Amino acid sequence: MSDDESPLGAESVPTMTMRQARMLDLRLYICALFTIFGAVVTVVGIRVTPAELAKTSGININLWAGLAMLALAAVFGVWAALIPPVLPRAPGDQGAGDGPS
Amino acid sequence: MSALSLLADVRLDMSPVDYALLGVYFVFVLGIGIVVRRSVKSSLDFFLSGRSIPAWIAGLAFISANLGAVEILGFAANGAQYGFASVHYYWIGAIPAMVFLGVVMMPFYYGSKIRSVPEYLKRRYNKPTHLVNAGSFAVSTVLIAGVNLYSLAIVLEALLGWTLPVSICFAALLVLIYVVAGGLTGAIYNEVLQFFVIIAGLIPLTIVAIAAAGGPAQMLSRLSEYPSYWMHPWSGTGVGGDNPIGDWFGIIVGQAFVLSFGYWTTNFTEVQRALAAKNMSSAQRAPIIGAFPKIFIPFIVIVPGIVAALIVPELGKTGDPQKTYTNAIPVLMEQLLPTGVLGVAVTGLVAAFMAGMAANVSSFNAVFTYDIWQSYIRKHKPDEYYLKFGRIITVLGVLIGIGTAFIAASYNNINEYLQTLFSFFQAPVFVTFILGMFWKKMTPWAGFWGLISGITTAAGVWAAAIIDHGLFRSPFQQAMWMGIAAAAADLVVSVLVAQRTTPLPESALVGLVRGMAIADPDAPLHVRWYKRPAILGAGAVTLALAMYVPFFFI
Repeated sequence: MSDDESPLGAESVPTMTMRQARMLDLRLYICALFTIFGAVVTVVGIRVTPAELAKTSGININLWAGLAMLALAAVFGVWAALIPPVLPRAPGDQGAGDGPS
Repeated sequence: MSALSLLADVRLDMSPVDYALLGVYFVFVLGIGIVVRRSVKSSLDFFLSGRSIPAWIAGLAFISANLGAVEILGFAANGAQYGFASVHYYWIGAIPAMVFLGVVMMPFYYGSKIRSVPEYLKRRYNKPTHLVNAGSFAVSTVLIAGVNLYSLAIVLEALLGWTLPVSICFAALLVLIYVVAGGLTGAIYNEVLQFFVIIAGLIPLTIVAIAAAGGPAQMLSRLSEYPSYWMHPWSGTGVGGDNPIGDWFGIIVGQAFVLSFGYWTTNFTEVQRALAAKNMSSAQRAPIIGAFPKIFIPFIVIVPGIVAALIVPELGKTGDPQKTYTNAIPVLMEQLLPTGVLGVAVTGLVAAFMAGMAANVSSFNAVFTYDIWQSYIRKHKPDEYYLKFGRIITVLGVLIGIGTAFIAASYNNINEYLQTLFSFFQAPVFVTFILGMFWKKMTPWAGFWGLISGITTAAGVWAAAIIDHGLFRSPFQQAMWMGIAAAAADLVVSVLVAQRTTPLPESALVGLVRGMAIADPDAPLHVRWYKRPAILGAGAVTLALAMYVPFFFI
């Protein structure tokens, strides 16, 4: 991500705190949603009934799907933890002056 | 599209767990809209996310804005009706077009700092050309938002048992809240979330469906009982062939080059997602990053449709309103998914409709505010005025959408008429953009008259097909040839008029035409190979075409 940063960015002041940037970090929302979805579906899969297995040709689809969703949540969680969001800076070159303001 | 109304007849057996998953998703959608509201301080924040979105988010939003439930249900229906013959839309249509947008066209769009696709026409051509494009886009997008809303309400009605008016108003209110609050960022964040939810619903459905058909080998061997184009997408595409999708020339030139390129590179609902990216490199990569997952979408959309035809043989064959082709995926969900993944799949479907409508609303409000209101009606107001106006017009857009939804509910055919009408405007537009970007001598009036001739030619082909029903094999082939005729007319008229009118001075073309690009001061000096649009794009196109190879051996 670092080489995406504008060369101007180094000198200007961030426009938000890290806490605010975390609030806007989509990776954390994906992580949270799939932790909930994955946990619920995994639990349903652990308590599978023979009637459900008959419906899905013997595949415990809830267990597999639940674990896969937990893995997806983990990927986004680890990514967000390892690479924190880049704080936006205000060098005034963001094109905000495009409109006739 | 009319078949969507019949969804109401599939009642899914939802348990409290499934409802809970849907409820959790609604909480996330609203929560994101409200949190993101803080980042909206200017009109550019509201309409283009302040050009701050990372490439991967813009890329997933790019395909997610289109991966609405209309596409999911529609391509499952095509799979159930025609088998693998319907993969062309993805591998030779969408993928090359998305790569072309990223590699070739995005430098002009992003580099010239235009805020919408119609704005390019205003700067490159003239006001009449701009007005034709901006006006038709605004009208069609807000009406299609209404059609999406209607489809969403049908799903809610089927699942929750609410009446249609309540479903329409509830769904509209949800979308309204997060788009008015969070603007384009609210829409984009929810599109990416929706992308993962719909994938999480469709992959288990596909796995269980293939198992129900007896496993992959059994499934393929059963397909040999169908016409050969079911297994071999290029079979029967010769002259006089039986492939219902069309002939090879129509598929390659009409479907891929004219219609797909036109849609993916000039439809602002799509391009807006890439324009929201934080820098030129991200904007170029956004559609290409989106292209990679898009290559695999047929396997979780068309394949379930095919399996539905195998295990529910009466699908589309009887007058049973529950067993239409469009209902392929809901019917499979009803028969195969247990509580748990059923809730995820239902949430994905509802999310897909909501995201589709929000994508329409968030591009409509930008074009209406910048291209119509600011360009022609109230110029030179302070930026806060346009931000406030954008929020008001969003509310108005949703209200028009609600009205359209109610009309669609009583006159089903109106959807098809609208789609046909808008396809006239869409058919020639790609030619006008390409000539503008690559030909300095292309004049403003050539742009206008080329566009008008293309639109009238498209309408003419449609009229000819009404008079002579045997002219085309299928609506697909008709659309392809309508596109080819419209593009050819646009090209010929543009060149003829350009030779007789004056081009813009070179100073007016800076950043808009090839050879006159503005150097990007922010461009990093060293770019790693996996961040180069041309290399990524070549990879995506190669992979997409390689997808056809196995079909020649089975």
